[in-house]
Amino acid sequence: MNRKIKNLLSETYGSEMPERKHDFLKRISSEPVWKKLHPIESFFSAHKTMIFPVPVIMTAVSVCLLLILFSLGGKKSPKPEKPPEIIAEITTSAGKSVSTSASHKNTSGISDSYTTATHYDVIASADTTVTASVRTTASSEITESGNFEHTDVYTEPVSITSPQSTVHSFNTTESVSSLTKTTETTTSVSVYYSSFFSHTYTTADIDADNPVFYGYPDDYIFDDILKSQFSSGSPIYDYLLQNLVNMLLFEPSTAVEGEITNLTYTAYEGKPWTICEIEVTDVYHFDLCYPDNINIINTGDKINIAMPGGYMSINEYISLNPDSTLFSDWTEEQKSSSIIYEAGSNQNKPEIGDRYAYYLEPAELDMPYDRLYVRKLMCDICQFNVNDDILTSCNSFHSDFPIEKSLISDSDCWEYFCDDNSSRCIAFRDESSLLYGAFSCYSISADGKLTYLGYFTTDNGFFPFRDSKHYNLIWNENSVTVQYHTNYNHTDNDEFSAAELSIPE
Amino acid sequence: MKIEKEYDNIFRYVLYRTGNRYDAEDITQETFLKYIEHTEYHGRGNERQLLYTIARNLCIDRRRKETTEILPDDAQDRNDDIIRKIAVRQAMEHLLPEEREIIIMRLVNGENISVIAKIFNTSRFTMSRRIKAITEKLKKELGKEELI
Repeated sequence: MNRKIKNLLSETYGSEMPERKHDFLKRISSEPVWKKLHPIESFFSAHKTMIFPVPVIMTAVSVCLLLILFSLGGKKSPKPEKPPEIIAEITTSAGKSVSTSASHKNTSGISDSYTTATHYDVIASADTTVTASVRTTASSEITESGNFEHTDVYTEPVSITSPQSTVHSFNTTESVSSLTKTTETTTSVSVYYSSFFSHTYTTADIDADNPVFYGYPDDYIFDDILKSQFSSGSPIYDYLLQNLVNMLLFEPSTAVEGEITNLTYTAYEGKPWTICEIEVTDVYHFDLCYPDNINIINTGDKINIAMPGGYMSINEYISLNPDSTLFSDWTEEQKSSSIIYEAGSNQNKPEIGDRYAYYLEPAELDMPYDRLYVRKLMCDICQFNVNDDILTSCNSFHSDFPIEKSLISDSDCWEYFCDDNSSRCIAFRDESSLLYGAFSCYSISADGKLTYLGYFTTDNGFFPFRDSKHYNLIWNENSVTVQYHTNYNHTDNDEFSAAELSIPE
Repeated sequence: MKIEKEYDNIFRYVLYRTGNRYDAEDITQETFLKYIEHTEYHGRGNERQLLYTIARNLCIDRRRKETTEILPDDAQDRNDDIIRKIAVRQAMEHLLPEEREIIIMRLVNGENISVIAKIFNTSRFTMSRRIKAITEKLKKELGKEELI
């Protein structure tokens, strides 16, 4: 529905264009101060496919420092004595063998990227599907200079299709049984990996043997997360979760959990895209979606999610980023026979078998995939152990939130309010200081089970108060009415605002 | 920040604020001249916010209280396109002036919520809630105009 409104507004107001723009820009381009602006423009032109503003660049530098701090306390892999060895065989539906050779090249420029050169032949074929897999061994390390070099391990089969006439192929050692023709060649293959922002976060308190939570914040809340980490001491996972929840609360969207069952690397309008086919394992229910969005996807469905980023040739990358200096010292032969993985705006490289939570909206892309969505947010599913109790977060808008009452401590996150004449209690999840004004609400049963009832918000964004006089609970047969004052300095005569929350059966 | 793209966005915003194409062209140019002059603000990562703030202040300085309806002068428009646009503008008139500004920035120019929040000196999350409320309000008005 928002899209309709947006289209109407764009049609009405978005078509107005200035008439004197070009003359003005031409006039001032000769002025000295304009030339000072050009480096900024050139920088962003070079990185336009990555679509990152300056704050993210600066925070990415901070991220590197942050990761150095984390990494110093963690495990380090041994430095490889030789370049990554990748054994490969080629399989193509066209049955064409591709000779390859390997070389290793260190690169600088982007602080968290690494590269090794790869060679491949471009097979000109329309709508040809190539399935192959690439395996590389690599390691992560902190170099002596303090730069973080990140390498990656991926062993999943990848499927590359191209609606255009060019198909990129890989050499791999693992034969793919689904293809009818295979040709084996053993060579080394490597891929240039470019990622402007590809870090994950862990909290030091999480038990390393158990699955941990990685939050992938959207870029504009990333700087707040960094500040929070160092100032308030809030656990990153909790902060991220609250940011995610609050971002989603105000945008209608569909939220699902799913496992990636297939990956397709393709191109769209000259840029690399990845199509993730996922099998939906759960659908979030929260009453903030517009009703017609909630039931659009069911558990067990297979849907496709389009994400910017994927594989492309170096020459294609250069043509899209003419000001880039990344490959300025490469020979034409190297450039014409190498490929790049452009992470684009993806914070991590999707792999088959990964499970994520996705917040989606229907894709308006002219791509030949069924049930195609684009992701507004993608984050790992959180699960961690606390004193042998299981806490599942990132699912806090599920109708059931199985958490032991004993885990609710005197932290900032929870408040309890009990009806004096009833054994039932209600708990509010107090949002963090930046997220004031929205209260998630749970009921607590006699056996300590929390049941999510819904959420309500104050109109003027005040903190939820730790004072029962600001709340009044009225238990009904199938619902509870929460009356609350929005004004901290309210008088007894001030009216309550109220939210009616249903109690699930 | 691409200057050329931002020029178009600022122009649309100013045109909406002033309702007059000539004034909008002047103010837009003046906005960018002021931005260029103040090199001390460059490179801080808040260029878009700065441009909108300058443009906004210039519009306020012009002290235009009333906006005039601007009909598209594209003679190729079909009658129903013109009617639809008029209906959209009429629906927008039911919003408060600041609400209209916010919606233009967010849904027409596609500005980031955090940029808009900084322009209006409020938190990102308050602005998110506000945009949602404004959208709801606009939806009702557009429904009355039978546009959705």
